[in-house]
Amino acid sequence: MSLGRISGFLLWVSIGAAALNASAKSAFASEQSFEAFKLFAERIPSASIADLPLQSHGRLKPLDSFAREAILYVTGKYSKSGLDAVQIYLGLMVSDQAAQLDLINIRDPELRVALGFSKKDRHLSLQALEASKLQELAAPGMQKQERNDRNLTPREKSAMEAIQQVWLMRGILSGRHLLEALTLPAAAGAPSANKPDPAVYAKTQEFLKALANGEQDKAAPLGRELVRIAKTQPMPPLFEQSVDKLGAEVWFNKAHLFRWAAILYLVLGLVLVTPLAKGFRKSPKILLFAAVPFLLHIAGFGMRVYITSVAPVTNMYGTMIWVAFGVVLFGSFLFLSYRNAFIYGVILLGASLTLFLTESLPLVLSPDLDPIVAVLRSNFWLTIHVLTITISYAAFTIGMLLGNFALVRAIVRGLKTRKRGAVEASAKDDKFYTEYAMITYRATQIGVFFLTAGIILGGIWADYSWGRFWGWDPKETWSLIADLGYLAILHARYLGWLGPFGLLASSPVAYLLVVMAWYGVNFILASGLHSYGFSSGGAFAVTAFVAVQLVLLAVALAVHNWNKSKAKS
Amino acid sequence: MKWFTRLKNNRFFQFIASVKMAVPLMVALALIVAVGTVIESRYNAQVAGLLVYRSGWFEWLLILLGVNVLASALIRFPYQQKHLGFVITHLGLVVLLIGAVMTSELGLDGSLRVVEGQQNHIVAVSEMSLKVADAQKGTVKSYLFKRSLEPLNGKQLGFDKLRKETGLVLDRFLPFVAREQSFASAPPEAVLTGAADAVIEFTLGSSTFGNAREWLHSKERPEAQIGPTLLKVVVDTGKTKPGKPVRKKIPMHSAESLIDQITTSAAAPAAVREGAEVVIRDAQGAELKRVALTSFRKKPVTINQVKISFSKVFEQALVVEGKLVDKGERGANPALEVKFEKGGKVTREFAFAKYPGFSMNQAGSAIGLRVDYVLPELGEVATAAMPQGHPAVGAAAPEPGHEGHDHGPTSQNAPNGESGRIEFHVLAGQNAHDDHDEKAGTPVRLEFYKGDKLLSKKNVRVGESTETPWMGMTLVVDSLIPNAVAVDQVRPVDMIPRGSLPDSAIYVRAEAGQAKEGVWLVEGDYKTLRSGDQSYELYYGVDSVELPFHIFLQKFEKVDYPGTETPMSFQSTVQVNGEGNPILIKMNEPLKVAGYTLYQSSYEIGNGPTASIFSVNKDPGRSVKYLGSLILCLGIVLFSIMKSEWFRNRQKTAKEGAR
Repeated sequence: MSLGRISGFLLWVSIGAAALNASAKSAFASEQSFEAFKLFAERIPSASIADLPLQSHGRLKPLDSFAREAILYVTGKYSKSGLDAVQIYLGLMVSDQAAQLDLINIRDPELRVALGFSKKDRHLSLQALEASKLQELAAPGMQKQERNDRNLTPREKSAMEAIQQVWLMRGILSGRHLLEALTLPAAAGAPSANKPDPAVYAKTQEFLKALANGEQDKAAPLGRELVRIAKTQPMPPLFEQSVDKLGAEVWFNKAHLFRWAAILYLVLGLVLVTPLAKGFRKSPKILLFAAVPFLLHIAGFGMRVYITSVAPVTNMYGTMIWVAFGVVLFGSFLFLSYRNAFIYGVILLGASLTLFLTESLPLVLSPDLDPIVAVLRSNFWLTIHVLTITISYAAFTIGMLLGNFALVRAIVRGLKTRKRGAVEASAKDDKFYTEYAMITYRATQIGVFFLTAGIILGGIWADYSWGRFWGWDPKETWSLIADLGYLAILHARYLGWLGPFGLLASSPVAYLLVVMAWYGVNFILASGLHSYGFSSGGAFAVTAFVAVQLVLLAVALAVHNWNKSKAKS
Repeated sequence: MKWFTRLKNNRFFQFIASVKMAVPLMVALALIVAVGTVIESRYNAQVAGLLVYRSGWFEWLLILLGVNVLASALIRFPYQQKHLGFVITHLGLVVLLIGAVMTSELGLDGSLRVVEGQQNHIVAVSEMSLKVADAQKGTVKSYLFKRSLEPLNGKQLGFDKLRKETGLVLDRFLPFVAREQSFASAPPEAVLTGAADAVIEFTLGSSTFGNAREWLHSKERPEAQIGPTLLKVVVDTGKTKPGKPVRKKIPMHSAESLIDQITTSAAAPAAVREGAEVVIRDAQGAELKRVALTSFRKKPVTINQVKISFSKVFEQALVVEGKLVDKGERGANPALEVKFEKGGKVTREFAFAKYPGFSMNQAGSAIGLRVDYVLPELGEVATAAMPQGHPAVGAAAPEPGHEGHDHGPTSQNAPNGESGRIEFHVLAGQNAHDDHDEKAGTPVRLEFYKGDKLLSKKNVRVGESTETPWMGMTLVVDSLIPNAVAVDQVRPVDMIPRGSLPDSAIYVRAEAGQAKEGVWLVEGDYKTLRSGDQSYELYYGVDSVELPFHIFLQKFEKVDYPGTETPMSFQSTVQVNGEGNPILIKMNEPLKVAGYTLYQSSYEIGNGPTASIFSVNKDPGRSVKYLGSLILCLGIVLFSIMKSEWFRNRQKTAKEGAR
């Protein structure tokens, strides 16, 4: 922060201050005012300025991505009532009701109550929050953070998150947030700059004034002009490389390739598991249908690679997209080998679910493309080992899906056989279990191969990068634990300790080790060298998954054994 | 091959080679290392290593697994075609494990710290050692020491070799200790040799600020700045020759620790008051800017290229005996802590609502700005009313590592002639020792100066309270040791979850001497142990290894992502043996020299000189491990192919075709 930035900021405060005065006067209900805001903001020509180059988190990104990240953090969503993030963002900057709009999403219901609001008030206005005792509630957490004390209570965490949302909102309203992003670091050789390029700055003001005055027709050409000037301003070489990719990133933001892929996987999967597919169950042509969403999936992944120039497996979001890809890939191979369209359908549904899950939790699984920490830069082995290990998770996911399917079926059929003859059902069951166990076995083999290879490649990377092959780091240790778990299953199958049903039942159990290695180390243990991947959130969902999994297993085993003993007697 | 047949038929060998043993072993290994990761998460990697990964029994478990894998491959000999994948996979695993053993037994993994513009070749490794130098014989002996997490006594330690070779005995080991240093009266011989110094502890008290307790040491810390007052110890007489300064890392109370206490021990933060304002003035006191505290709290203010940001508010900034007292009423002494940032340098400053213009560390004057904290109920407090040189905390403590020679900041910070100076004149050395009167204590002569002018002087004894000639403060000499030597003590402490491991300590004594004549050595300590006419130089701490070459660090650079402070890369420019072409060592771009590999691992920037830290690695098992990995992967591929339907069908058709 420098003098230049502050004084620039002060110029813009006048707009924000005007907004505050106006909001103090108006006393109409907030919903009405959002309608008014919407009428105003939807006329903002966001397309004209979406690819305005801005810097944040060490990366040059288009205004579209910048606004999406900010609006997501504040409101919990990328868009609202048909307004896109850029429209909301710019609308907030120039609107005179901004501080009054119930937009800030306080995510912790308890915190809402503690602040004196109703539990139902998910969204609150800046004005209301600034008048509340949020500051006071957040202070203990802030102090702990200042002391690098990591033992924050959930309440302290949520209060700190809320106050950061308030600060960000305040920053957006005052223009400071945008101003900082407009201020690009100095180009190579130029003296360090602490304010935006004068031409860019002047044009931005002109554009914002046009918006504030409601001259939307004037704003669109101004926006395009601003983008043109901003793209040609001097900037560091690292940023220059990204200028041409801004448009692609905006397109990627809007295209929702992964969502479309998920929808098509879902449709195809549903067709395959219902009698609709009866005529072509064994036909390899099914793969042609699967190819469409698969290509969309690859295209999305490719876009992320193109925009960042690194394989996007540096965070949870990236790896989940990649795992969904692997699930479809291995599922297609298994379909080609065993020609079981029903199983393929189950696998596609699993992939679809993974993608939907990934896309629906942007606050937990951040899809942003911000740069990676120093140790991860430009490294071939890093990319290879992460891709190899996570692709093994895909194979294990297939095993888990089939295993769970078998468990559910065991429960359903077990209850049904009470009515019908047990012996007849048992013969049918055996055929089912043998077939499903075979595919699960193959998937497990694929998984073990890639996981073992990935662990070794990880060792090679560690050796190459840090000079040691193996150091019992939690992440590598848990990959080993998962590997040992699946190896134990394979060996137990060889011994005959695990029959077809046993293999199917143990596969979801071993998958819990994968969940731990994949998610738990970063989110639960939160220690070790792989700390760059650490974040929090989603703990509830994962705990629920584990609990449901264990209950399902227990019930299925109980029903299965009861059935078996009945068949014997 | 008869023995082999016999071996194959041996029931025990069959068990060792069986999958029945392999599965429980795998499950056990998985469970154990899972526990290890939980320990690491709750404590730290070192503890997990000591308890699990690097413990003896864990090594045996791995060896057992290796034997099991090897035996399982052997027992299938002579191999048939169907065994190919299996055998290759399992042999690959054995080779990999052998490589791992070679690395841990023969390899070197340590770290090398090189300061910019200097060279180094001493690599610190993770093992602990006790080194004993015998001055008479001129030998250095090194004894590796395995750290434990439990306190151990002499018998449990069992360092027989040490006793036989040097006559020294290891009596105790404490896994976690804190050092404590106190001063004791020196024995006569120490006074004669000039190894003793005067140490004085005093309290400067005031009705408003409470008491500031400080200490001075005639060699290491002869001066301390408290507010604008300079306090100085002067050794008057005696035959004391200047001795070697004693290395001392932990001062009793230093000004810095007091500042820390102000800022960290505040239990509950005070609320930002309504109506409170922050006034920023220049050095002459002219108002430059005035902002409401509520807004200042959210956004920093930048003036004259200095960024001033909010840190904290205090209702009762009161320092009593080195601790913040929090029971004061509201508004007893409200204060505001702010941060100055100028050109990347950050300084802290306190603004007291009742005492505008009073600076705690002169940072404000150095920057040319002053911050006033204005509270509505107090109104504007006239600067003239400011209590000159009020006792608070100064910034005169020598930084650790400076070895107490450099008192530059103190004298620079001592404001011009206006400020006060208090001198403690102590009679020390031989005379003091002779004249020392146990009952009454040694007198101290206090001299009070304003500028260079002596205002008054007075002889006082320990415990006696004196009014200062200005501002009505009281000065009490709490303790005085005219001829003091530092006494090191260790205190057992607890391990802190998620913190780094506290240092361990050992107690070493000469076998011939008395039990209490030994010394405590805390990790990193060099000490001399005297017993009779024998003298040993001892070192306890991480072991080190000398490289056959020196690494000279020309330059260290850290490159950030544009517009952030997140490092994008760091790199060191080095020369081997200070000659030849400069070589760049970067993250992921190590340097290989004479079988050693140097990796950029860390760096030190900030206080003190810039240094680069390399991890140094020599790994004779590397190629073996890579070979094992390759064989293992190849094996799994073969294994999978040969078990696939496709392969079986092909074989079936081949057989049918042959028929």
